[in-house]
Amino acid sequence: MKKKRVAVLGGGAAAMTTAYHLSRTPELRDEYEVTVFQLGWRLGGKGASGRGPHGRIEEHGLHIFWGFYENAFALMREAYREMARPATMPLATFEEAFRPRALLAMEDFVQGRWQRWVVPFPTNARLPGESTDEPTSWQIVETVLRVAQELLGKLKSRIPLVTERGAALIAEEVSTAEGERLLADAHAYALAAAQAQAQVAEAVADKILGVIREFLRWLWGRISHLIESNFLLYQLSVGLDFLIANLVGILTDKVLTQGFSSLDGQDYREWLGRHGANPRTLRSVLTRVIYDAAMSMIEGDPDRQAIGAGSALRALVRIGLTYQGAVAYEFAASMGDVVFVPLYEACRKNGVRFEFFHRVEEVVAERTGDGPPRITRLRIGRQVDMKNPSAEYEPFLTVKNLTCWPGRPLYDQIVQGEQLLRDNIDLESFYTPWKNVSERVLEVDKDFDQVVFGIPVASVPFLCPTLLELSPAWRRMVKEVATIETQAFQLWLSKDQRALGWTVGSPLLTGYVEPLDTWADMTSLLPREGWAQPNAPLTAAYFCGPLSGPAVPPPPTEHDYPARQKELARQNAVSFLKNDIGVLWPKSTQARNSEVFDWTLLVPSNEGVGEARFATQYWRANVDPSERYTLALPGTREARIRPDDTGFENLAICGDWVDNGFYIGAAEGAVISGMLAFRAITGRPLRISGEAFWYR
Amino acid sequence: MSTAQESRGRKRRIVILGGGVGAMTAAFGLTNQPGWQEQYEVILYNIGWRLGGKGASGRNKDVAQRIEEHGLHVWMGHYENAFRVMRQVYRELGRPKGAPLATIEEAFRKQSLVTLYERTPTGWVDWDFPFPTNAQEPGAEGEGGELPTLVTYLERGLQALLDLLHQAPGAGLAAATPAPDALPSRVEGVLRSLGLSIFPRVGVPGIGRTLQLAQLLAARLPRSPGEQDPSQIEALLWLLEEVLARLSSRFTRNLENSAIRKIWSVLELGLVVARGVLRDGVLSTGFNAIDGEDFRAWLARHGASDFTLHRAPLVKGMYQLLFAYIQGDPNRQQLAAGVATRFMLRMALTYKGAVFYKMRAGMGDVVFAPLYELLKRRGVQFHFFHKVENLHVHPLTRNVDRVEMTRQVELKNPAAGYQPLVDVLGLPCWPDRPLYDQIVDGGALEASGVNLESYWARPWPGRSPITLERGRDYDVLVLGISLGAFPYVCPELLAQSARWRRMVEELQTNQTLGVQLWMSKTLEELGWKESPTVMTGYAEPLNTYADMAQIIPRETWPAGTVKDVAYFTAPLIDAPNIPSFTDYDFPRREHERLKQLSVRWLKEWIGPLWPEASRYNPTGLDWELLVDSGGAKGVARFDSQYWRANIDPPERYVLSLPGSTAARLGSHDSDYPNLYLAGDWTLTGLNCGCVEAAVMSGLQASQAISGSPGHIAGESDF
Repeated sequence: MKKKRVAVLGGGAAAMTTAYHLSRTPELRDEYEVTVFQLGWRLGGKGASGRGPHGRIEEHGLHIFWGFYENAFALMREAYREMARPATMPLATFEEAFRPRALLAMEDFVQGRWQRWVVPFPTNARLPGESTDEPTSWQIVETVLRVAQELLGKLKSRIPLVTERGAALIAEEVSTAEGERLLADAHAYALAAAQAQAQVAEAVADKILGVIREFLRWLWGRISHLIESNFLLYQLSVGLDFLIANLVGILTDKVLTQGFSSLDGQDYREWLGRHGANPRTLRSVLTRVIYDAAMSMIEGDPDRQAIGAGSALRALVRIGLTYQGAVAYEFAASMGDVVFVPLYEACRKNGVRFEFFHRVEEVVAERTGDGPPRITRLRIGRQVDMKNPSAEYEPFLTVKNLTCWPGRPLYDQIVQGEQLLRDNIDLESFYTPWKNVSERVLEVDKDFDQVVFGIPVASVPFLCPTLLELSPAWRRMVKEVATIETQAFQLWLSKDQRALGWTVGSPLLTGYVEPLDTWADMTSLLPREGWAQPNAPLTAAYFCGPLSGPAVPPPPTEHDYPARQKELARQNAVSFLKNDIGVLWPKSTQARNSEVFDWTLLVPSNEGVGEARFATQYWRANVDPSERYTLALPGTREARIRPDDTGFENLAICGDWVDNGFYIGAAEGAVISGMLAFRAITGRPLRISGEAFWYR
Repeated sequence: MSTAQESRGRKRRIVILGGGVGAMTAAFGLTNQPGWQEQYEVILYNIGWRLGGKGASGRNKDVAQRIEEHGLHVWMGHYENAFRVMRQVYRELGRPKGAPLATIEEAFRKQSLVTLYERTPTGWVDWDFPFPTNAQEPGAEGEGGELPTLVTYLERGLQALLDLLHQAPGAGLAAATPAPDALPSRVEGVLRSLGLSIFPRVGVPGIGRTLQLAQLLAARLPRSPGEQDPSQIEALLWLLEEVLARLSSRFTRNLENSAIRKIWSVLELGLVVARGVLRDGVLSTGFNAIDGEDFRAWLARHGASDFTLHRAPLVKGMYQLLFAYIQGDPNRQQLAAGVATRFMLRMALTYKGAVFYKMRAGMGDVVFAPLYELLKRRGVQFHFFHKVENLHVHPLTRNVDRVEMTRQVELKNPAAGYQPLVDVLGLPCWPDRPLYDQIVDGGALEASGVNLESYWARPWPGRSPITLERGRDYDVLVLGISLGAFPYVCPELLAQSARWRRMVEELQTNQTLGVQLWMSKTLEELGWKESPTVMTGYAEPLNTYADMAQIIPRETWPAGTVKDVAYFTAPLIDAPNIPSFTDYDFPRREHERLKQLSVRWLKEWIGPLWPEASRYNPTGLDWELLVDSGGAKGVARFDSQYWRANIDPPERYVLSLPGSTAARLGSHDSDYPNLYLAGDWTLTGLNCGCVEAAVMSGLQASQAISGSPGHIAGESDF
């Protein structure tokens, strides 16, 4: 039997998942011949990373795996087994590569000041990537109510008996008995239903709804006047309101039977407000956190926040209540090193061929017969010539014994290496003035049979004009599935967290001032970078957020566009450090300018004056069409296309922008889509965790 | 000279160029003596359609006759001369009872709360200073027009500091800080020689006793300059330095408490200023003598801490109040020490009635419409639409012989002259644009969009050159145009006088900004917890703000639509390159630049100010709160608000940089015999950009020309 030749376009998480699965077993390897075409020198797409000066890690942004990323974790467990790194090497096993993080923090702007929520999520004994069963609906309802009861317990002990009202001190007894009774009733109903393994019975749902709606009225009737001056009471009240309003919505709209996606026509806040959430809760960081985490800001504008209610709710329940082991996992090195090195190694071992420095210029579709149209031609530019044309490009370097992706091509394997260096060419940039050295035109039936298109949606108008011509569904997708630019910067500092003024563990923090609303302490990565004493940094910190920019990427002829946006990202970072860093690190500011960051803390020093020292740090604006972050805007779910339903006979698609059941831009959605693409090509079964319940 | 003129058979002609505070006050002063018409004529030429200079405002007939200002203007309770003029204007004008703003009391509203913002590493802390009102009236007739002596400032200032130590939390701080066990014999000797007990009255705890001794000593010092005995000064210094040193070591343990920080910053600043005044001999020399030094540098030299100099908002507030940013750059703050200290002391210690006053309509409506109506009635001739282009000097006589001007438009009825005011709810007001129906081809001019006040206006039809000649059209000139325009309108004056060149070089100017928002919620609903305030010290670039809800009844909004009005002002950092006047697009670009700055500021900084004014971007303004009858969405609603970049050369704010006082020319001392000066850029006794200085300057010009008025308050520190 002649092997089917599969051309995988792109090397991000989704494309690599498909490539991995297509080559996973000897039978599959007999049937499929897989080639991955990758722009530039490294795999990873939006998750690509590289090593820079001092072997430091330079990311596209901040990446973590949430504890519920079952499919992504399962894939990585396999890849680490498959790669079979010697135990003496760093990050030899899955467990070494993914480290649990339990501490999430959020900044809330209350009464004109930033206040902090620090939420330690308890760990559990479940293992990431190894879940076996799906929860029942009632288990979720029961869990929400149990957490609410715990919160009310705390609230009870915090209500002050004497409160200030105007000028007078008024003694008042606030009884929480009523609230406790209501929650207990609701919990009892849910528990009974859960234990009985009952299907959602409308009668039970209605009973619970009646009780918890009453609870919300009680909460704001009795408590609200107390919370103005007391942040703890505010937290507990808003926390309760948030939990219960979500539950009201879940039960009222029968989410657990009809699926989350049914809510995606509405904005999450709108939905939550409709189900009784207090305006204060809607403005609080608890509600905002999903908008920040999913960068859900139209054109990167924090004033225009929008996210599909179903997608948001699904993600919140998954993140907060259904994690395996820890709420989140960080990579023990960069995302490229931890995720894409093993995937590459495993795929290569399984015979997948990698064509680096191949830039897809056009995917051409034609209608050749009566059936659906198909992809007939692939125009792919070769960006450079290899010095040794018979060998594949060897993409790695080693930092402290770990295999890593470099931050730029390994020029000594490239004929044009010196010229690239001299002209400061970025081969990954869509806007590069660099001309391909040659173009390969792959013909269907002759050079390929199947195509997996794994390049993000904002590239489609540039790469797939004929597909848009032939398919109204593709036109609709391109019009409605929105993407935004993002920005990130990384700091290396000469003081440790405590000396900078942060005192509570190693946080992952979001909800802070826009646009750089998210910060993660990444100090644990420093041993994996190439620093040495003396003058090695003691803290590494990543910041990221949306970047304000046009809805549609400019054309490739705007060669200076990346530089302009990168400068904008630099200004945003500097402005953040000048105005906002003190809230996170109160001891990192200058003596004479109590709000401005002390630039001399940055490592290494360039001996510059003031903010000129920022030049040694790392910042980036992700502006290429393929780097743009996918949004799950309300009402756009129907515009997404399923990997197996592209309307083109020999084409499957994958990425976090396809209809993957998750919709929010994330590694898990990308991995699921890659698995769906595998199914589409092979017609074989493949278990996708959560498919039956969560991703409907 | 006058004989020669009379022999020519006509009265002296005094021509005033410009229509701002200085120019208008000069006209007021010149016409304030009965029978002035027998002596001379007063003729005023002004650019465009309205008077007011930097204080001009306009009513926008397209948007509820809203007031559009150059910036935020508040009057201070120590503006003795300015209030005196306005008091007389309102009285003499005699608006009928019940008419809007019929009296000065109705026109100006007391404002006692001042808010300064402290920046801490973790956010903003508002320091509220409610200055108590008093029964005095600024600018009232009779006694009280004279300012206190420098010793009196010292006495009152120390008393104010002492008051701080009488009440919590200052009392606790004082009690915890022990007074020195004994006084040196020389200090004791001075006290005894002045009849002071070294065991003062009970009541002030701890170190307060030492401060009380100092205050009592100050109260006994001779008032006249130079009469103080060196040993007295030395004793006072010893006492103050003890208080400063002891309190300051105590304070460093109390940094976390913002109430303590606030009173400490007042105490430290007060004590350091007193120390500097005494050590530098200011009691004998006056404040001008320390104007060569920057305010912060001077304070630092006399022992001010980094906390007071850089973090506490009092010192910062003075720089912002006087817009003391070179080229508008917040990183280049410079302010003459004497100017700052004098202004601060007058503001805090000599106000009458209230520390600040807010106008109850536009500055144009409250100040310039009544002034115009009165002066017109008195017989001053006004020529609108005249832009001064060039002043020519005779190289030998040094007289200004010719004034070249552009007559910007032709009036339909030249004989009647231009009637500039419009009625808004019964109040005579300035419109924000010319009344085109009085202008030949006014419709075409309006359609062309030309801004007649702009130096960057694209040439338009209907304008014509005219020349005034000395002897024929005028005898005496009063230059009331501001300094920023001098390189363009009087290059010959610069060329022929080193003093002029020095003045223009040393007295730098900067651009300023004004932003006005009309809100659909009340101040309380926006989350402001205190009474309406005037605020400075806040985040750049819109660092100064005042609630202006008091003007809402003077605009014609449908009931209930506008519930609050907020004005912001600050220096505006200069464009990197200020182009020639043929770059007609420049004003649009600057307007756009200010818009971007403002929008960004509103996104980043409105939250701490108005905690309830944001929606889902926590620090950013909820754009829906802006009143926009056009119904735009999101940030586009900002377009319906008012913002203004003051970029025209004469609109630029004149700075009081270190060393600049010595470069100022007096109104009567222009270096050109027939030229007098009127504006806040002259040497007045305040020497900084404000209404009061401009009024003083206008009165000084009038005094030099006509002898009237006989007395101007605060011209000298003595």
